[in-house]
Amino acid sequence: MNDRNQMGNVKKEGGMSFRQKRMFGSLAITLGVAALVILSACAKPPIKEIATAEAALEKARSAEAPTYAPETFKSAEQMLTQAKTEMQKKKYKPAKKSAINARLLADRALEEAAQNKAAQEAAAPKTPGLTEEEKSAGPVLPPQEISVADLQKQQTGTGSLDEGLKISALETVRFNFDDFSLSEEARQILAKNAEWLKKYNVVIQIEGHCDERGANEYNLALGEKRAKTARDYLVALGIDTTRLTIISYGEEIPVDPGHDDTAWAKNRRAEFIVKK
Amino acid sequence: MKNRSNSLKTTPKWNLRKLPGLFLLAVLFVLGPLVLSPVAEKVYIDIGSPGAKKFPIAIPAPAPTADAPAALSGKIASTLKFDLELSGLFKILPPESYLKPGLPAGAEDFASWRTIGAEGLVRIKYAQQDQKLSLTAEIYDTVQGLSLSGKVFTGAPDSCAALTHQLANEVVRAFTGTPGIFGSRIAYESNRGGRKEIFISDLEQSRELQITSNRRLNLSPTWSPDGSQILYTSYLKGNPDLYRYDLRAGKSESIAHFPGLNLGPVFSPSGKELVLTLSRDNDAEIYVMNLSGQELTRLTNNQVIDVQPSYSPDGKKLAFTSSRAGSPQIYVMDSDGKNATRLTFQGSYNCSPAWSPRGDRIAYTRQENNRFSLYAIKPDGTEDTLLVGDAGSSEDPAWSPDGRLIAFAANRTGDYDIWVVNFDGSSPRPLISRKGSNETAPAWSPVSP
Repeated sequence: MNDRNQMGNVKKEGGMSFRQKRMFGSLAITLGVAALVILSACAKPPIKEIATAEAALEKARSAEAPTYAPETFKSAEQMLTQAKTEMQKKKYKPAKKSAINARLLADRALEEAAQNKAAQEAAAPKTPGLTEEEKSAGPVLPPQEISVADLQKQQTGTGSLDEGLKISALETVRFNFDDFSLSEEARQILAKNAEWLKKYNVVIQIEGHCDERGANEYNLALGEKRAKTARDYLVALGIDTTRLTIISYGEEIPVDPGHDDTAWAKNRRAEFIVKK
Repeated sequence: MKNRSNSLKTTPKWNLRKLPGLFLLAVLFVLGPLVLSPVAEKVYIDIGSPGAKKFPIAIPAPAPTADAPAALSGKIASTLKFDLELSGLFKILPPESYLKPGLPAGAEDFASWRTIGAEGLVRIKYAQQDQKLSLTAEIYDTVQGLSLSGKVFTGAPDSCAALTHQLANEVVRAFTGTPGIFGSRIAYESNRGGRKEIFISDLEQSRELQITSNRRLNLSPTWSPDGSQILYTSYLKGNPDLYRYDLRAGKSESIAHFPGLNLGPVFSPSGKELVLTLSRDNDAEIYVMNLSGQELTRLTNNQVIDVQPSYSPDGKKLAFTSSRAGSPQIYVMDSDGKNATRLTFQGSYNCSPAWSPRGDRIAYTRQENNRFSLYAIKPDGTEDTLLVGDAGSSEDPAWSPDGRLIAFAANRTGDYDIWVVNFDGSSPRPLISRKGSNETAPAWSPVSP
């Protein structure tokens, strides 16, 4: 017959009872876990350091470091990946170190990229406005001169205050009422105009116009917004901004004197006048 | 002791002699206020109440005296009739109905005027002596038989119209308490030559002055507070720049030519600053500029169109048009640009605010169904009221200097002319009209000094 204590455990003669061993084991585990928790609590996940490293990498990327400092940039990226992996594995201290190193590498990549870029551009000036495709397609001819006679061959009119030439190659762009945004059709026309402007070296004035509805001063401001929107799109397509001037005539110089939707639609426009 | 008894005897005599004087003083003291009270306190015409009945007055033919040319009589009469009818306040009774039109030998026979329904009488004489023309006006209340005003207006022999305008202003003052605005002028755009130029005309359209003739597009005239200068925008040099025309010198000069728009200036009531629209910082914003163009302060700051500033008469606030809510609406801000608040909430396109010189209303234009109508609203945003919206388009409101009339551009007859309407929207009628061309953007000058 075994003696059973209160908890119904068999009591062993001499040495630790099973229960006592269990208790000791539980305590050891608890202490061990506590130690780990405390240790890991001291090392918090390096979220801030990783975020800083990512920001530094982004900055280096937009400064064209992948192109101009590829080795350093790659090392920075790899270091950041390592930091993230370590953090997932809860190795916070190493993760923090890696994150800090990643940031340092990214900063170095940024510096190198700036230096290398400047050195390259000093050696060989880039042609502005070339897209990647155009660069890979080979050298592009700069816009060529065009004579007044040749312009006059395709002349359809003059600017709204009788100055300059309106030519068939440069089409008019239309707008919706009280609006200055570009429709898909407007964008296509501007793309065509940009192609012609890339071929021929002229300076143009973009005129913004409105239909007669609305206060005159408001329409002068709206016409200006229309001209500016057209200009900005041409610049985005690669036309040098120094070749483009803008002016607004508001509702003052309509092409159609009518008072209906058809006339109004014709009058809401941006026109492209060659200045020679 | 004898002296004392003498003085005692004389004192009662002295008191008695004084008595009539004291009595008279007492009478005057009691009755004086009744007799001598300034008759201007009586409100003959309550111009504040809408649809006020027109005040019937009689104006017998002005009588020449002392070698004055007889022909002037008709000119004075027609100019006076034009002015007083333009004010919208008076009904001038027809001369055929006058019982005793001739100059009376003694006092006016007020009963004869009352009989034909006249409540007021304006008796005019004029003389020409020593290189001077003078008009004398006696203005009467025929109901009470009171003289309201007696004034002489003198000037050079060719200043008949100007003197008559002064006379008309005095007639208005006598019956309403505040003087009229005659002798003022309207500046406007006209496209009769193909491109808009700036013109000025007197209210009677008897004399028109052309301010610009460059065929380059000239817009939006505005007057300086003293009436000596007109500002306008011109494409003379290929860009919408701001110019100033000096009426005395007869010349224009450029006062603002920033890149982009230089538009629609208004003077502060002090006359020392201009508020205008510039797009030099990328899009149309409102700025304050001192007259030399040296100091420039930006009042609005956003990516949308802000145009058409209009000062409150005390100079503390500015109404303006802004598309910050998606479409043009009227806003009010402090004159330093702070606290911009939206004023108009009805209608989807509201513009061209004009703050009344009396401060209690802001006139503006609303676009509905492709037409413009004239509205007025209180500066606190209440009582949004239609003034003119019955025919064609009505745009570009401009107040008369006394805030009783609004000039505007109307195209109800086909082309645009300058019309005028009473402040409450009653009786719209043409003012500056010309067939075959558009007259637009009126600006009303101050009364000439």
